[in-house]
Amino acid sequence: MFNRCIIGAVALLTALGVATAPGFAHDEGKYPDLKGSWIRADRGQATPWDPSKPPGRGQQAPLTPEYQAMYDAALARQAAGINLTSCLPPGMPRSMIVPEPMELIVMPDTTYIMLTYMSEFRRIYTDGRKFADDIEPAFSGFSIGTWEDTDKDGRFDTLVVETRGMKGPRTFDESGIPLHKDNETIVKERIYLDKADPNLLHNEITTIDHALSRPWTVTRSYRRDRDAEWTEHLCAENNQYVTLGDEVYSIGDDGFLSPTRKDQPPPDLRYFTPSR
Amino acid sequence: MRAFSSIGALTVAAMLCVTATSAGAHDEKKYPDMRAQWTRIGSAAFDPNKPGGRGQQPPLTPEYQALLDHILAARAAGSLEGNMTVTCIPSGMPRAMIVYETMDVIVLPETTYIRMSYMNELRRIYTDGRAWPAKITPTFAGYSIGKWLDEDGDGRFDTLAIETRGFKGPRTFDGTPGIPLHSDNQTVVEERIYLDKNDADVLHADIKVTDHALTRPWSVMRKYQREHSPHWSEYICNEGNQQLLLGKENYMVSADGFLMPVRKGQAPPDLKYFNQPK
Repeated sequence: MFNRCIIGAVALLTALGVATAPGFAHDEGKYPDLKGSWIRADRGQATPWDPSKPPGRGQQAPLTPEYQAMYDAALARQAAGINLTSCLPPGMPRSMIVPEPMELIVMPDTTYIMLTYMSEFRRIYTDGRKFADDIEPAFSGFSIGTWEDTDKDGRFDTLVVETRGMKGPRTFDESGIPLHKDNETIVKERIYLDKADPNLLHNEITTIDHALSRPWTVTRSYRRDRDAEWTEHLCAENNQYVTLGDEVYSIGDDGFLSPTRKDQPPPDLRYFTPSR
Repeated sequence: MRAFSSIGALTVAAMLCVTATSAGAHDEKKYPDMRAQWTRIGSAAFDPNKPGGRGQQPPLTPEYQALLDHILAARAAGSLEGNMTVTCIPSGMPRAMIVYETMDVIVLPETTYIRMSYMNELRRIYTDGRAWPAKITPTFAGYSIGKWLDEDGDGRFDTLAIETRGFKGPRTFDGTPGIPLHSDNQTVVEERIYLDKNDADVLHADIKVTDHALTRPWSVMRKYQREHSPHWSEYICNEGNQQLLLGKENYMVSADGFLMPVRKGQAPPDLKYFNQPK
């Protein structure tokens, strides 16, 4: 309503021949109120990609036979206690699981999504630009968005996003549902507040990827906390593991390597000169 | 006549708008235009106006000078001991303001965000008038409260005055040689950030550090250049980082996944916790 008032005032002044300053106010009233901290609304220790289904094979990921075999192998390794650790960021689309708080900042030309988990940072450009022919790959990809007023009330309510240009390796979730190594993923999102509950944010996410036999759409939701305290998530600080080849070792507080499973062989020291 | 008519119309329009519901217009003209990508001007030494290493002349206490001497000796021997960014621990404050890569500044009325692409560090500087919380969860970036100042009295803010507390560590002032801050993490960092009066493409950060590793507060002045054609890259420390710190020794992990020495004659790590062949 205030926006229309400004427009009316400008029109009035213009009609009277009064020069008006060009619009300079960033009118937050045009956009939904996305301020605060948001965290995944689904509960449970596991964080499967599709929150409406059980984790692991219960996700019924529409994988191609080749990538289903890769996933089965990953599940078998986990069952054997082998968990290859990594402090690489999840990237898109997995970062939108939001296991730790997220903040959205809406500016007219860009919406920023700041993710605590792995300190990921997304820029969604809403300045009308097109995708370049060559995009520098990034785990979070390159995102272009458009605001829509789907209920025609004069205010934007939905951010429609497309993301390309990702790098890998990436998985959909912690169970290791793989995305294709060609990294030609396209992720489409529709982000909007719940009509009945303004502290609930929805994200309909469609992933198109060559590891999939068809596009895979999930709806994730996030709950707002306006007074959350922001913390840092530092994978390297808490990660006391190192991967050498196919083996994962532990680094103790005393700085020595130790095994992570019974009868694990020690690391191969082939590059060290043996003492005489 | 036209001026009087204009004033009258403006007044009517303003009255109409004030009575209408406002969802909060953010008047960006009240604030300096800092929203940009910035890159550092000058060296990556904490004080860019002095040579690196001992040339920085940090005002360290005897205890922390001795620690720095030890680190310098370790560096000369090829060790990276004390440089925590080697293991992808972030720089933290105040070191993050060296801006090794790019810096992103976003100004909103209640918070100014400063994000470093190096180590993906994010600072939130709260300008909503809040008091210091009774308890701060320590972070490498610290907890920052800021206040906008209109130093030249022209009706627009020009300087962001910031105080940052609530740190965790270990932190150093720089990467090389790794001038240490005190292990008690009771650092207080005060900053004044403002655009250059003669060149709006230059941003200044006057930084003063109070820390128990120092005999007195240490003040430096850093500058940054606005990039008009920003290129945003993702910095992922763990991607391609083959460094490994085991205790005070650093090693490398080869491309084929084996441990490697970093200097001639370096002994392999002690594998005492493994069942060695008899």
